[in-house]
Formats: sequence, C-alpha cells, structure tokens
Amino acid sequence: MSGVVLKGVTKKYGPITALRTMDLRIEEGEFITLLGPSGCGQTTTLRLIAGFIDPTSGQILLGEDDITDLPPRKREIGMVFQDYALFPHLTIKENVAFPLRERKSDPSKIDQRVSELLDLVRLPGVESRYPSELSGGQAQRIAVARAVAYPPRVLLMDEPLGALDLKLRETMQIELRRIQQELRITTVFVTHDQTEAMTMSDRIVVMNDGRIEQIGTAEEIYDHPVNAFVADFVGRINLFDGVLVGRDQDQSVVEIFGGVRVKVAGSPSEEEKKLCIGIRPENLELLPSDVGATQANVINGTVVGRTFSGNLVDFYVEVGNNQPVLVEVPAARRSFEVGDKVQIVWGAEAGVVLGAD
Amino acid sequence: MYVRWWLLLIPPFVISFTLVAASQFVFLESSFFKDLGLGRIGDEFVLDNYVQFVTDSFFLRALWVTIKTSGLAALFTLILGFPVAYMIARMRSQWAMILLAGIVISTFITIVIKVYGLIVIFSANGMFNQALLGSGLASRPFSIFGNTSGVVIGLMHFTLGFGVLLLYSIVQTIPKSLEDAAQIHGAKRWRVYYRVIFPLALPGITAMLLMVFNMCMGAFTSAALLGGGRVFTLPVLIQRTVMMDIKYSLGATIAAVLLVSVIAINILSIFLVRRMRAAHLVMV
Repeated sequence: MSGVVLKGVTKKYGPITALRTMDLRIEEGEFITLLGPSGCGQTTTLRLIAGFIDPTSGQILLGEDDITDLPPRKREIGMVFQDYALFPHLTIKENVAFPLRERKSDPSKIDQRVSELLDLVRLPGVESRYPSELSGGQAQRIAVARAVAYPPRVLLMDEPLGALDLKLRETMQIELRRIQQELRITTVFVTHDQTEAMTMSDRIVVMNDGRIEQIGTAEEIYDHPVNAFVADFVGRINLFDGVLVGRDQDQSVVEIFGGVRVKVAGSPSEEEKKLCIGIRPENLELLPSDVGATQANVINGTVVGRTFSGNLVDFYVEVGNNQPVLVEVPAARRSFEVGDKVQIVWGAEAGVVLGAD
Repeated sequence: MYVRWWLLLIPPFVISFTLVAASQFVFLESSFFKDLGLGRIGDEFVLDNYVQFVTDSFFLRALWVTIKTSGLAALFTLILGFPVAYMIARMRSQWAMILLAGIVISTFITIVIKVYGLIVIFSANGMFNQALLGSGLASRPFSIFGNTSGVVIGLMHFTLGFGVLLLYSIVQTIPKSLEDAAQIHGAKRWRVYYRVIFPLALPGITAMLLMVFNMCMGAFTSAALLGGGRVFTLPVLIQRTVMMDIKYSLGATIAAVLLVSVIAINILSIFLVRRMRAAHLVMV
C-alpha cells in the first residue's frame, strides 16, 4: 500500500482542457474523495491514476515509484467501476479470482482467498452464481471483492454507488468505509454526491472545471468554504453580494441588497471592498415580525414558500432581494404559513465571508 | 375504428411465396425423377440422381471443394475483419462513421466489378505480381485464376464487408469498461482478448461465421469467374449441368444436396457451440 502523488498533472483533449495543473498528495491509508459536478475532471483524474489515459504533462507517483508511463496492469491498482464491470460470462468465483489468476497467485490458494474475500464483503457462498443473478448491491460488493483480491497499492472507485437506490446507497457507504478501514487501503473515490463524500471520506477534494477548489476534511469544507462555488456545492447556503462598509471590534459591517447592514465575524483584508457573505440555512432563525430580536442581524421579509421534508421545514422568505432566502427550521418549530411577515435573525458568527467572484 | 393493416401484407406474401417456395419445390421435386437428358424428365419416382451423386467422386469432390473454400473464406473473413471491426467499434472520433459508411458502400458494389478489380491487381503483370517478383520473394508469378486460393480470395472479397459490419455490431455490445477492468486487474493485452472479448463475442462470431459460410456456399459469380472452368464448386456445377448439359433433374439433385449440406452444417455448428458453452470449455 502506498500514497499517491500527482505533480503538475494536466490533461488536454485537443483544444479542450479536461484537467488544469493538478497537484495532490494522497496519504497512505487515506480515504480521499474527488467531489464535483459531473465532467469537472474527477473521473479524468481517476483514469489518469489508473493509466487508462496518459497525462499531457506532469508526473504520477505511487509511493516512491513514478508510474506515469506504466501500463494499467503494472500499476498494482484495484478499481471499482461505475457499472461494476463484472465479467458476465464468468462465475462470481472466477470474477473475484480474476486478478489472482492474471497476477499469477498460487493456484492452490485461490479458493481459500476467494472465500475470504466473500466473507469480507459479507456475501459468502455465492461462488458459483453468475453476475446476472445478483442484485445491484450484491454486484457492488463483488466488484469491491475483485478490486481488492490481489491486495492493490491503491483502490480507485468511480461513482460506484450511482446506480443504487437511496437506502442501499446509505448501507453501502458504511460498508465501503468499513472494508476500507479493515484493509487500511489508500482509496480514491469519485462522486458528485456531497453527502456521500462527507460521510465516507478522510479528506475531500472539491473540484470544478478541471481544477481543485479546496482540499480538506468534511468539517473544514462545510464550515470554512474558500469560495462561493465550494460553499454552494457542499451543502446549501444563502449567498449575498455586499460591500464592506466598516468595522466593529472583530466584526465587519457589510451592506447587502444596497442598504441593509449586517455583521459578520472576522475581517477581510482592507482592499476587498466588494465581497460575498454566505449563511447556511440552518444557521438562520425565523421570528414573528412583532417580536423584539436580540441577535446581531435582523432582516424583515415575507414567507413565500414552504416545503416539508419530515424532520425539517424549508421556508423561502422574500426580502426584497432577487432570490428568496432559504431558512431551515426543525419541523417542531414550523409555526409560519405562506404570506406571514417574519424576521430573519442570525448571529454575527453564523456567516462566512467569501471572496466576491 | 380498428384498421387491419396487416391484410395488406397478404398479396405480397402470396406472390413472394409462390415465386420462391413453389418454384423451388417444383425444381427440387424433379430431382426424384430420372434424367433422360436434353431437358427431358422421366415420370417414375427414383433415387437414381442421388445414387449418381454419391457414387461419382467428381460430385463428391465438388461438394468438398465448396465446403472447403466457403469454410476458409469464412475463417479468413473473421481473421481479417475482426481487427478492423474492433478498431472501428472502439474509435471515438467521427472517423468511425466515415469508415463504416465506406464499408457499407463497398458492400453494395457488384461482385463482378470487384472481381475485375482483383483480376487487374493479381494478373501476371499486375501490381501484386510485379511487387512480388521485384522483391525477390518468389520466382514465379502468383496466379489466382483456376485454383482454390483464387476462389477463396474472390469469396472473401464478396463477404468481407458484411463480415466487418456484423463483427462491428458484436464488438459494440461488449462494454469498454470490461476491458478496462481486465487490464487494471493484471491482464495482458492478449489475455484481455482471450478471457473477456473472445468468449463474450463467441455467439456473435459463430453467427457471423455461419452467415458468411452460407453466403459463400451459394456464391456463383466469384467462383465462376476466378475458378476459370477448373475449380468446380456446387453452384458452378449446377449452372453447367442445367445450362450446358441441359440435365434438369441432375441439376436439381446437386441443388438439393447443397441445400441439405448447408442446413446440416448450420445445425451441427450451433449444436457444437451450445455444447462448448455448456461445458464452459471456452469460458475460463
């Protein structure tokens, strides 16, 4: 097992740049997720590590070894594909044993190893079945068993849960994480699902338009997004464009919607007059319009929409901006109807300052 | 109101059926009556023609030559056509469509023109032989006229386009991710073919081989033009027997033998492939 290092890797298809200069160090035994909208370069990155495509420039290291010019089969990598890519004409046993046979494992130990692997993915006794006889979740487990059969130095997973329904996805997220930790295997996971990324990963690499926007743990990225893209892609957020108009101790005073002044913790550097502040909907609170508010920030508005999702209620509040503000309220406190006049209140520490872009 | 459009199919069906099946039946039925020569047919039901066929080594050799040239042509169509079909199926540029269109168009060119092209290239002082003799690889010109190699080349010229199209559609049904999966998990290029592509393509390859084989078994033009009166395949023999010797019922007998052998070989091949698949002989 080893870490992976990408050094200044780029990939161009003719005039189209799929991956801008990419520098990334994946630590040994780490579960790292490449997160971003489809086509942002995560799958390209994965296929570059696998060796299915060659980088236009740059270097890829596996541990200490430069693997940039090695064909896929010599990279000692395991991979789980989006469509699982199980061999339909081979039994489950032969599918799982495929890497063992191709990499010349001792044939007398293959049966033993296959049954160990099926135990690992908690699907014992399916050796003689064919892939077409398995459900989506089972095929997924077999794909993982095959990928780790001949212990790879790195495990790659390309949106492996995309085809599963929600319940199964959640089970498989936990399962994949368990298997990864049991084997302590360096794992690179690609997804466009932020919940999946946050629940599974040690670190998340947020990508957009062929480049890395931010690298960090789920908490770091959720609480301290570096820009509006990351803030908006990971979780939900209200973004307000504003102008810095003053300071109040360690808080900044920002004017939004051309008049309303709000306070935000922290102070951006002097030059940044124009900026963007982001506030997560769960950090906002709603009060009836006739109650005196004690919080640092208050905006008046009217409820224009309400959606109920079981444990939470989303309120859309019109505040004179072009976009209604989203406020997330625990379902127990949903005491407003569409048309009610309300106050949106929040503390100064609830907002984050993002560079305007 | 429900309109029974399918009723419209009846007239063309009746016409086609009468023209094809009825005339075939009348022709093949004549094989069971004695051939009196000069187009005359006896009225007694006998197996004389069939006895003549199976006891005359000339006819048996012609049957063997037909099966051999058709089999070889089908095999070489596979060998030459598969790499082409594979490349086109895996191409991701618009060249794939252009190449495919080229193959479709070339398939529609009449075999007569194709064979004359072959004659120009392979004649004693044509391009091929000039290159062959000039390079010193051979001391005598290679001829494709009046020998079985020539007939096989002519048959392939006829079937290669169909073969590539069929193989193309077979390769397209095999997801590229299966090849990726095989490679990343340690398979060398030839092992990817041997363990993944070939077994998955096998049913399709069998169908393609049989279709090309059947086309060749009935092919007259390339065999007649390139055989040059020295290589007798059954279709050539039928034409000579009926048109030149004016022996209708003997010609019908040869046609019946051809038909029965084609059907028998097809059934046998399908049966063998089923057996191989059931025994997983080609799966590991």
